[in-house]
Amino acid sequence: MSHGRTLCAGATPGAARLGRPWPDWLPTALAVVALGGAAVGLLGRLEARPVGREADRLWLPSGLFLRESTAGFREVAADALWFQAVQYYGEYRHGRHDLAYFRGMMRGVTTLDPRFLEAYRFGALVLATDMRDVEGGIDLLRRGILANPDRAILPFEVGFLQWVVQRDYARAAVWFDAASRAPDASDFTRRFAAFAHKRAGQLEVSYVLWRNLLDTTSDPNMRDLAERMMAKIEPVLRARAAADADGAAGPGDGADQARSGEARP
Amino acid sequence: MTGAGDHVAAVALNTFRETVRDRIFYLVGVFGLVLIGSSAILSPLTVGAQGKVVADVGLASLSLFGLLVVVFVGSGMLHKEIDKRTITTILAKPVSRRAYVAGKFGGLILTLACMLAAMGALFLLVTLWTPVPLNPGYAAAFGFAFLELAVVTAVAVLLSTFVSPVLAAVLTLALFVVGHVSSDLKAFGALVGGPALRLATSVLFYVLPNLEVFNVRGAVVHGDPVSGAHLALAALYATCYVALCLVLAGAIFTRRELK
Repeated sequence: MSHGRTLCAGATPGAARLGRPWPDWLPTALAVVALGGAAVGLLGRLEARPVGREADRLWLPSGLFLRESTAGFREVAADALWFQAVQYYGEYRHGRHDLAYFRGMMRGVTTLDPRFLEAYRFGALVLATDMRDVEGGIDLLRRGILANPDRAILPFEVGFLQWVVQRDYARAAVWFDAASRAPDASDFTRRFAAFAHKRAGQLEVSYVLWRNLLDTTSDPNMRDLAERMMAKIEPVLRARAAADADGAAGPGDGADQARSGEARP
Repeated sequence: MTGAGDHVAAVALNTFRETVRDRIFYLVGVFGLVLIGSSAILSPLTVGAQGKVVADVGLASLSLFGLLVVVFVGSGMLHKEIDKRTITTILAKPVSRRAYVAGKFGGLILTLACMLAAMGALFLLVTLWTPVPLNPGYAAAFGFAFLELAVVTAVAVLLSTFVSPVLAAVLTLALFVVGHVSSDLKAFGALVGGPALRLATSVLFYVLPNLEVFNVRGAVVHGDPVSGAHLALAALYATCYVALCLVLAGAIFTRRELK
């Protein structure tokens, strides 16, 4: 029996049975291409109009609420919020906004995962430099220190911000000192603590810190540096002791010499 | 003559075979893809925290995929057998209903143990090319995840003895969520509530499973030690809770009329 039509190449027996000139799969393929293309096109247009994105950030729930609502998956939620914060910072670098919600995002990340050290460091640095809120950055780090009292990096970062941004060397030295006493303090932390004290004029403490570094490090470069620094400080301390013994020298001589840079590393 | 233990083992083995036939282990492959994806695709976004992110995602996925198996297999397990009437052929033999429920639980636990072992091995494999600082705590984290899933499985089996599969699945999921905040609920009740709320939150705290005791993922990822004493206490708590659920499930199922 003839249908009066010629079947096109590739037509399947099903198409032939129904007397259609196109293969069975063609309508499905066309529908998939058309609907898929439409979905992709619409998504592109929707992405270009980010309705409510800023509002989402404005209404970001408090970290405590997030903690309760993540049902034991807090760390993964912190990671997801961390990605958002990093992207948000990237958008700021491209001049799209003024980091207004950054503080809240970092609070959320660190409440969800109070041991996320990288978040404290990055957050504090952005607050202190890009947002010119050094105290805000230090507050974030202080919260981190409360949650991670045995980690050297956070007090070290406080000292770093006070040293390079606030130029408060005496306070920085106190924080470097605290960092050097942490169980996981590195040689570098101890070395920096010693240097900060010297800059602040507290040579005796500096000498003790260098001595500690010399006694605890296995790195020959560090040992060499410690020995050289101690060799520079020793004459000043000896001169101060001699002056004290003579009763002739005024207070602060050693400190003045240190400030003038005679004993720099 | 065979004892109750043999009956439990036979039902458990059969349940395990059934879950294997249901291709549950495909989830291990999905787990692998999630892990590899999180380590490769998300790396540029992690800004110095790649190891932490991979470890977080890995350990959380391990628990999540286990939970999916418990919810979708555990909550409908008994109902399926009753619906197909295959249960009558088993119970016609000298197998008690309690042994049958315990066997069903055992089979699912065996499935979960195999899944966790496979996912744990995959996780360790992925850590070879990612900066995850491995420590012995990861072994403890896998153990705690297994204990947590054992408790949730027991709850799912208990619920499946007297409610429909859909309701059992929803209630199991809800109990999983509440089980992670029960301590906070109790603290909330003590802080802001009157005597009635305080009593209600205290009762909830003791009745519901406290799943947060098994959550050591954060501690392990950050390199904090997990004491053997905590592991032992958690294992004891899980054993007690599982036994309690199975005793209740057996009692309910024994009285249930099978049509």
